[in-house]
Amino acid sequence: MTSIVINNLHKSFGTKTVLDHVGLEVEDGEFICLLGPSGCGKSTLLRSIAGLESPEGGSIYLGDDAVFDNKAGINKTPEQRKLGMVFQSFALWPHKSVFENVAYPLKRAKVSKSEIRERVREALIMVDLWGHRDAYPGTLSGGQQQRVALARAVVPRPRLLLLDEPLSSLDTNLRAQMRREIRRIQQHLGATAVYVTHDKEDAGGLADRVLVLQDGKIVQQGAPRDVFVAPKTAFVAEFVGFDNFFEALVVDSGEEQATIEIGNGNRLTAAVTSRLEAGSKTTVAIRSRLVRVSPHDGTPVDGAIVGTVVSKAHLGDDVEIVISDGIAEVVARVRPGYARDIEVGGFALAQPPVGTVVAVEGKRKGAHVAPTSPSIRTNA
Amino acid sequence: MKNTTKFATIAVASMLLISGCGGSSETASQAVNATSAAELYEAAKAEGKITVYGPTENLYAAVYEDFSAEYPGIEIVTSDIFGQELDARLEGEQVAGGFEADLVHIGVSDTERYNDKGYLASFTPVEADGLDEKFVGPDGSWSVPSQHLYATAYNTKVLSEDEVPTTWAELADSDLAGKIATATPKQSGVTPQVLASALAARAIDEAWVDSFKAEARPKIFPSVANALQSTVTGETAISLVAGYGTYMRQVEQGAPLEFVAMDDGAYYSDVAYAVLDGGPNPNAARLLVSWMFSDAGQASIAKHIFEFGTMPDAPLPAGADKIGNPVRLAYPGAEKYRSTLEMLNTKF
Repeated sequence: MTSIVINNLHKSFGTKTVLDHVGLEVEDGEFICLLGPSGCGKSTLLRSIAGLESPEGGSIYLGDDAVFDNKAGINKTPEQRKLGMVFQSFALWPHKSVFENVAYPLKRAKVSKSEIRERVREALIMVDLWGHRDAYPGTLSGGQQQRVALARAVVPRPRLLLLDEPLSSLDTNLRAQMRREIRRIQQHLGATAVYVTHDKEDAGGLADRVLVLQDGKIVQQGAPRDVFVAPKTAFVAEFVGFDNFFEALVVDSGEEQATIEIGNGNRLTAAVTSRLEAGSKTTVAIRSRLVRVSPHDGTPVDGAIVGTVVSKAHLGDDVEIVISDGIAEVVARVRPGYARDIEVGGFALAQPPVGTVVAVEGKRKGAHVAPTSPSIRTNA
Repeated sequence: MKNTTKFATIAVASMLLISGCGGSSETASQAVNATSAAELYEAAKAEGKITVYGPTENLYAAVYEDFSAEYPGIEIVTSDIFGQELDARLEGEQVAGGFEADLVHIGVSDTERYNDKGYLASFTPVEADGLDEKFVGPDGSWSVPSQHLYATAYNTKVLSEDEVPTTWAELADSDLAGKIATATPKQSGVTPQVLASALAARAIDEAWVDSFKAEARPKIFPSVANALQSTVTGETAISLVAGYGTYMRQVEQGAPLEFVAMDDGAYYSDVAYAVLDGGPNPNAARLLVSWMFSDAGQASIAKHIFEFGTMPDAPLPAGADKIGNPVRLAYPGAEKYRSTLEMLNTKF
């Protein structure tokens, strides 16, 4: 097991910068997720750690071992870095049995036959595939193949486990199961792990720490809950699932709370991560699932938007309600079975008809963010 | 998940085992400093195995059997794999401790990429005297024993001989409106490669592309194979791009096809072997590559897969004497290929 220290790593493909002087420290035994959309640099960062990409500058240390240091002229091969890696495509050998696939790194390392058998057995028991040791990958399900790939990655007892979108080709149910499996195995081994994904559920379900990348830079990092509840920029907010964005005016602000004005003069109270300048403009984001809709008589009220239901749509178990105050539109997703989403006397079947005047508030954890200025979030 | 399962199934189905009496281990042996095939064979026998990755290795089974007849005791394992899957496989092998494969058998554009990544070992085939140096990569990183010819094929029941175009200009003429089949030129593959080579050699220009689309009004198919099939069935009269080997195999099955190369340019695509650095069987791999340049290897390539050997006086594949002597177009390099692909994406 090992720590990782990355300093000032940069790389370009032609004129496009894919790693923009990235710095990162990962503790021994920590599980981090690199999260971001396609092209943000997360895979390039992982592949640079693996030695599959050669950055143009910077350094990467695994513990005390410099595996890449541009100034010192060090660039160790993937084999020399002694790590395990799981790929999206599994990258198994179809003509080798499960046992042979998992044994491969040990054979290449000239480990004795008896030790190979013991260690492969241990790895296959860990992923619950010892009974399939003589099968060929083509006869296994996608989830089983990915478990073979995982066993092959851990069998040499690597100091670092790298996972490059390993679940993206699996269906939803299998994905959740494999997510639990990966976390269990990582904790069992105590391995340091770096996991690349564009899926926030993977990141939230696996990581001790999530790092969001944009244009080759780490733009936010922290515990999953902190990143998902309090995104610092509009980019992060949108990426982690916020779907109501408004231009807003800061009326008044303290260090932790601010009053902002949106739409047709409606005022909301919000939490902030630092003081905002009164009179400045910002962007606000709120999750549609964290919007509370209540019947209202139409008179203005502090801390809520008063508007009219302009449309409704059934989306699976949810109802999506769009409310407008004439300037701003708010999207709310409510689940009719949960009457507390629609409070104050209740609507018929918990669904306000189009044309109904309602008050809209952010529930606790709804978020407000500013893309270029300090972020704020609701405390409703 | 479906894609993955399909990939695995295809890969298993396409795996070939030839001369199965090898006993190679997965630990890499050392390449000997051999100057003759006999010396290489001595070292190769101890390895007993070669693993080759390439897009159509199943087609080479008969060629590899000829090799095995001359050099018994060496098992050849092949996997039909290419593109991103091949990239991922090789990366997986690197991380897992080193290459499982000994050779990649691919187009030159891919060998350039792999050489940049440091995957390839330096090796010049032994006993390949007289080989033009243009068929050897920088520092011997790959070598090209054969070329695949791409030109056009037409249905003899649909198109009479005097209607058959003989120049690129005629291919873009309205006389052939709606009669030409082509794979989508927008997607990376042999069709944009052919067009890029013709553009680079000035056999065509951008105005030709406009005219081809507007006047000839080609029918566009997802792949070269689909386009050729439409010509075989008579749905279209002529396929813009057809491989000579594919054409010959179709004719052997009774397809009413003739092959015609435009006088002002036909694309000869280099098919390269590259030795993977650190592969487990370096001497057997070097022996196979060297054999490909021998008289027996060149004859086998021409006979079984209808490719054109690169050695001086290499025998022609059957029927190739009828093709004439078109201007030879070559791969124009990654940059020109990319810019052509971008241009084609704006046109189609």
